[in-house]
Amino acid sequence: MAEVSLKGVVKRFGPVQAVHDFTLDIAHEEFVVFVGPSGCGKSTTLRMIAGLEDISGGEIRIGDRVVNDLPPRARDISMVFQNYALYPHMTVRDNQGFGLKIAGSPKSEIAEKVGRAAKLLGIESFLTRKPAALSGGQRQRVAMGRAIVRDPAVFLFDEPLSNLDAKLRGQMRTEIRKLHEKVRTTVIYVTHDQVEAMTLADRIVVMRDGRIEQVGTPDEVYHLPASDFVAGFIGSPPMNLLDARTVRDGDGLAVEIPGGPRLPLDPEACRGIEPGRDVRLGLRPEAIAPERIASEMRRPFSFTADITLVEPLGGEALIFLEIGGTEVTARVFRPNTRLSPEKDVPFVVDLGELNLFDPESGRRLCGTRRMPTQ
Amino acid sequence: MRIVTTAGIWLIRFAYLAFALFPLLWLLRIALTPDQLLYTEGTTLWPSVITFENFRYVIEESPFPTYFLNTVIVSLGTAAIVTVLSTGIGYAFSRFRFRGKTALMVFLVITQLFPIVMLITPLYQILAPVGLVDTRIGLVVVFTAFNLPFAAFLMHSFFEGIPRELEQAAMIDGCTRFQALIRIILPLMLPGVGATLGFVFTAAWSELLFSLMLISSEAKKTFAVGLLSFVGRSGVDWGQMMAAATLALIPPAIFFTAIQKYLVGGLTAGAIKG
Ligand SMILES: Nc1ncnc2c1ncn2[C@@H]1O[C@H](COP(=O)(O)OP(=O)(O)OP(=O)(O)O)[C@@H](O)[C@H]1O
Ligand SMILES: [Mg+2]
Repeated sequence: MAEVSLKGVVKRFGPVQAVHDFTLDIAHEEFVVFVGPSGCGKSTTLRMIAGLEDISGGEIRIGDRVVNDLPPRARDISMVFQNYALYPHMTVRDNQGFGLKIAGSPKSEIAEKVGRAAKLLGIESFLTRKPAALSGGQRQRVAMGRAIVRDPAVFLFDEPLSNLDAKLRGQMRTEIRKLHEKVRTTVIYVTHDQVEAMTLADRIVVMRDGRIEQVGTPDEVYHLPASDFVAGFIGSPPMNLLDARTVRDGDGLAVEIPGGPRLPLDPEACRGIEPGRDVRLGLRPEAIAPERIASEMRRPFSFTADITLVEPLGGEALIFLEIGGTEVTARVFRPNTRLSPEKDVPFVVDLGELNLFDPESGRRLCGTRRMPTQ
Repeated sequence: MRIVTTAGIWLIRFAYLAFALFPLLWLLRIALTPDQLLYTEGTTLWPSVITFENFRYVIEESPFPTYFLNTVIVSLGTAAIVTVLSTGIGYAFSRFRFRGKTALMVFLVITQLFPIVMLITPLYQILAPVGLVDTRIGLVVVFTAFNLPFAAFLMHSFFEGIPRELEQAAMIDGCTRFQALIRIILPLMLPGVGATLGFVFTAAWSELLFSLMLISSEAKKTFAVGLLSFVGRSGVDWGQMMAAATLALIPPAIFFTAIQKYLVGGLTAGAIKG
């Protein structure tokens, strides 16, 4: 059993504070991904968990032990580095067995475990080679093999795929996910690639400037971003953000885009928001579509807008339209009619996919997406 | 065209080699020339008769074997001590953050700025009271002091060339910092260790100034000092001098042959992406 828990963890490099008051509980066997822009403190946090970096404050627990002052070797973890860090003077087999050898395991046990990991990762055929004689993808596998062989309580990954080309990266991403199904362990995975975060994570931790911006399942982070920062960071193309204003709408509340439609708000989700307030309205590209090709929506609402540009992408298309003078991106899947720039096109927007953000703080005020309750 | 280029390149290589090795040939030629032919035959490339008399004399009748042994002891001792110390210093400079590190490194550079001649008198005065004048240990101490700063810089840059992630990975794999150093870093440092050993060994082997100043007794003289005694009362005995010099080339040659495979870099290839 290995929960990982961080309480008020702080990291300072001299006068620079790289991580602020980081508090997070990670469950046993959970796959957690730290994601955020470059320099936001992901690696630093991971390295503090690994014990490669001292912590300036707070507490880190792995399992039932406080590990603040334990050296890396005593933390029962393994780590895959961005540059793989394979021992260049050892064969793949010795690389994989190194941890067990240091721990004093008997030769037969090492051979058996290395063999099993090699089989799992499909690297049996080059066990006798040195790392220099391997391709990038093969080195990646060896690095993962070395991590698995020791059967640690927690796996740490620091951008393990960022040195691979796009195709291989996609392939390895899938493999890492499958691997986690087979080798159930707690995983903490750092990336700046939001696609990796969405596809791999049980829970995503979005970081910004050394702070946690949001913790949630990929669905929560995607559909109910905690701030306009998360809304812009997760998703490609990112969530559309429009300046708008809340207005009274009969008994309820609506949000009005100046020069655009007035969208009724779910009274339950947006309780407590006063009318006449400036907000930023967040709309995912999939929540908007031309009416004649719109797929099913939870709560469709019709309006008209001008299409300014269409970018077909094969299986999907991006449609650029103008709402109240702002350019908005819509994404439609498998469009089977030809789309082209056109004026006054009937559109639908899904009222069950609205997010309102405070224009000053950027925090979310309300979101109308209903999440399945656990 | 290809053939002409290749031939050209070989010609240049050959010319360079000839230029570099000619003094060695001349050394050998004079050592092998019988005394009476030395001036009569002029500057032919090879004497008409060769003799091993000079070598025999140097080995059997001169004090050279003693000088030789002294030089080997002093050079090997210096090389070993400097290499061990500079490995530690280079590692600390490369891997640890500590107060005054930059100042210390600057200080090391500054020590290299003084002309050595300036230091001889003070050094003599320092060594005399502790009884290190006219001893081989004294020479080792002095050589170590003078070679250490540069060797430390050399080792530092070699350590810098080894990714930190390697020892971090080892430490996660169960090693202590020391084990990671011994099992992962040092094997990759062999070219650096070899280069430092070679550099310090040769420097100590051919050192003259301090040996001349600090050593007075015949039994402790090093080879370089001994060579000077051939510039004797009645002129220079070229044949014996060259024979001794030829013999003196052998240990460095053996030494470099032994370490040359470590001098070839590229051992770290494949540690990280490439
Ligand atoms: N050894 C160090 N000394 C001083 N500052 C550091 C050190 N290591 C990291 N930092 C700073 O801490 C902050 C967080 O760095 P970190 O490496 O954790 O970022 P990251 O989120 O992993 O970014 P990336 O995606 O680029 O890897 C950065 O501002 C960085 O400059
Ligand atoms: Mg990083």
